[in-house]
Amino acid sequence: MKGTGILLMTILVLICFTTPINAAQKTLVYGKSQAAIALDPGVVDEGGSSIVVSQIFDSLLAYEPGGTKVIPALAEKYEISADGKEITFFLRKGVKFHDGTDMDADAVVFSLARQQFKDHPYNQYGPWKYWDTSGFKDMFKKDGSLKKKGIIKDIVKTDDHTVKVLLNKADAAIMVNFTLYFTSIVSPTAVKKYGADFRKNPVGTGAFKFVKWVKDDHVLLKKNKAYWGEKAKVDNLVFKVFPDATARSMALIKGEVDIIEPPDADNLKELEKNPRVKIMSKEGLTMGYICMNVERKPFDNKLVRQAVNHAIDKNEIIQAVYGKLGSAATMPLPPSLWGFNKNIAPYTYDPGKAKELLAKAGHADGFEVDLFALPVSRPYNPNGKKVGEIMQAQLKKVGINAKIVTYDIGTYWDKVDAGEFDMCMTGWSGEPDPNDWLHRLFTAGYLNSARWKNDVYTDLVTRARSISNVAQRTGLYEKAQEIIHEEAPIVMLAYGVLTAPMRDNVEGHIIYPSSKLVLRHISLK
Amino acid sequence: MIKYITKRLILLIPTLFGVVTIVFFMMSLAPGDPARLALGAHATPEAVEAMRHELGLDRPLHIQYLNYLKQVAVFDFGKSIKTGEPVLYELLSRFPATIELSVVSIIISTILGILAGIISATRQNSMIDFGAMFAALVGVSMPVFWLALILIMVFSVGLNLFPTGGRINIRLFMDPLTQFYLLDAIVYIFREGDFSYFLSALKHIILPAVALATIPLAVIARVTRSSMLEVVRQDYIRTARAKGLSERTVIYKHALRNALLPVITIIGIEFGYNLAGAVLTEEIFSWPGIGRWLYSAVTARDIPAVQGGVILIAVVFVLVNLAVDIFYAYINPKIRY
Repeated sequence: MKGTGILLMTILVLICFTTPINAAQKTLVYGKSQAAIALDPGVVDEGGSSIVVSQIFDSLLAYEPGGTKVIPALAEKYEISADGKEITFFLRKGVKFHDGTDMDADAVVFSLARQQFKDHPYNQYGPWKYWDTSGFKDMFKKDGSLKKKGIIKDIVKTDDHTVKVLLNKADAAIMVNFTLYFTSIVSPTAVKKYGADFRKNPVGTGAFKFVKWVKDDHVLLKKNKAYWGEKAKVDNLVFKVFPDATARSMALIKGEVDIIEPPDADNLKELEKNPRVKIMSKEGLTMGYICMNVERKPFDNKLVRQAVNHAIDKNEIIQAVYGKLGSAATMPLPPSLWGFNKNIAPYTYDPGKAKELLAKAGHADGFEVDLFALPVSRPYNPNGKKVGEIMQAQLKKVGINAKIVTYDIGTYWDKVDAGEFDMCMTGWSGEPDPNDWLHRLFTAGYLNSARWKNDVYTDLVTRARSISNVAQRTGLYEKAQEIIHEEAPIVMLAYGVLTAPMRDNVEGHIIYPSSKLVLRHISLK
Repeated sequence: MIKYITKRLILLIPTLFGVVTIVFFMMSLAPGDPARLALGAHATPEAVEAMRHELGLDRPLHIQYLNYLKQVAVFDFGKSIKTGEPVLYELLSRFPATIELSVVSIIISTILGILAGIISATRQNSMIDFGAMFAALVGVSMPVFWLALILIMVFSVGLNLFPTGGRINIRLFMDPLTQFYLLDAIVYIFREGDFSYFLSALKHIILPAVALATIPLAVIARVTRSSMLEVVRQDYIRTARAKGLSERTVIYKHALRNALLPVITIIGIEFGYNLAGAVLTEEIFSWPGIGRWLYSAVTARDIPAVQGGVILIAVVFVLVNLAVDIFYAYINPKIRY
């Protein structure tokens, strides 16, 4: 009996104090919250997979490191024809996929055409969600008749290193799409070899090559030594899943991971106190806002909507809920983006003014509304319930009784999209083009949650989309913002701030405002 | 015996039929549109409609049900909406992790639970007995996620004895053969003479296994205690003592053997619960098992995945119970089928 006890103790001590070391190679471990689901960039639509495919694949264009300027990637340069209907990409020469296949015009046409054309032999391995929601291809009704013409007409090879994308109509906003992961260029050889299993065996041109994927646990990548651009500075890259934010933070404190996807505000505060951890942050292209349903009373009245804008104290909400994860927002697009109108004075927190406006609108005694609280945490709104509670108290001060309602996330969006709400929380993480914000979110379409329609506004942002001259577009967008500010269909809440907590030996990380994760810049000291 | 086993296996069919039916209709009653969730918050209504058609959700419910029954009969659980992979493949690739965790955890809870039960019973109404039973009560009532976080904070971050989560040190780049990491790591010992894989796998499994073991441990301790108390009052124990056998022989040979019978049933049931109920433990310890997978399938309303997962767990649960019953008959000569 005694002997067993000693043996057990010895084993325990051995277990506790033997830490295996494999120091020959530099391995960067990234702790993320969601497991990857599929690794084909065309089918990916969630963060758990997109941050992995962003390391394995390249698109034709990219963002400058840390900025929103579009720079060449697999395409060395591009030209847009005078009528705006023809984009010519001149491809970088000598680039090879991880499997040795040449990255040429055939590969580019293959990568894009498989998403565009129903009769493409590899179209069946979709669904190509972003390609569809971006309106690139024709949409048909159930009976087969054309419902909506797509933006892209055809994708053609003109020579081995030149590809033309032909459009049905001029669309200046399309260019940002060629920086995104869903337009990544994939190895045609690998797609043909793996078929449906390409999503488990991704082959691209990126700074890291795919090695292994243990579902729900980790993905292992290794450095692509033949990368055409700035090469990775570590030998291996591991994406490890930690679904629980507290466990993820503790893994960083212990040094089991080198850098993590940001946890909630509470855990961030804990991390800040740790001397071995440093936290980088940068304003991102994401915003949280409140929609008022303009089809319902009393929000059909502009004065009421303005009153609500004066009744909400954003700073209180930012301090209590967002902490370092947000800053007070004014216009429905991020201030770092071109086209942002700096000359509009934002609505001030002024309950007196709010009451005055309500009285003028015939609601001196206030009214009751439902306030939909976002049931999930998002970069633009970390805690919908808490935001709701603070807003409820603030609205109460001007006589508005808000009842907080919430549903599971699926039902929530169903009801919001169907207009079955008075006030709801929503948000957007978009691309660095004002069109993605001002046109996409506030013209006819299911994303226009406030159901607000204004012909002058729609005309301005639609015209801006068809011109490629940035100065002209800026003028139109600035005017559009004046209208939306005056009409006030929404209450702007916060611009999300992107953070990256990491160990103090992690160097060179760059946060991209578009939330794109690029890990090849990182070196380990 | 073979007749009994055959009978029990045949009885599996109506049980599973019931499980499939209940799971199917419960999932269809739950709110939220799976097609909508599959495509993300900002999908176009046309895309959602097309997806509903593809998933067969636009057909009448009874047709959907009959189609599903037909599929399940040939072990086709459909494809996961979320990943597009066959549900059976998804399930089987995650099951080893859960089984490994459950087995280690049930070993811990069985050994410690039976020990605690015996000590309590032999020292009935002593301070040790009260202490052990109070601890068992706390064990049963403790929220697992809270305990898990406390374990990490104390033993992992504070004392730096164990890692915070995962199955093995990722920097070791182990290539698993069986997906049972402890076994795989033993292979490494023989193949490369390297113990670090096994130690790492063992270190990783201890905290989650302890967290998962608390409730079964408490239950097993209490059942052992009451069963022991009942047995020691039997005539044959008095006879054994009258024969002049040592107290040790009386307790461990005569009393414990008989007292363990109800405990074995409980262990079987608790093992079944462990397989299905490890959601929170798996979530917090980043353990890539079936509980976590099922949980995310439920939140994503991935209907084929949830149905397949619940059916698999039901099958395993029933099989574990069957195994326990057979074992029971084997060790207890009083029972003959």
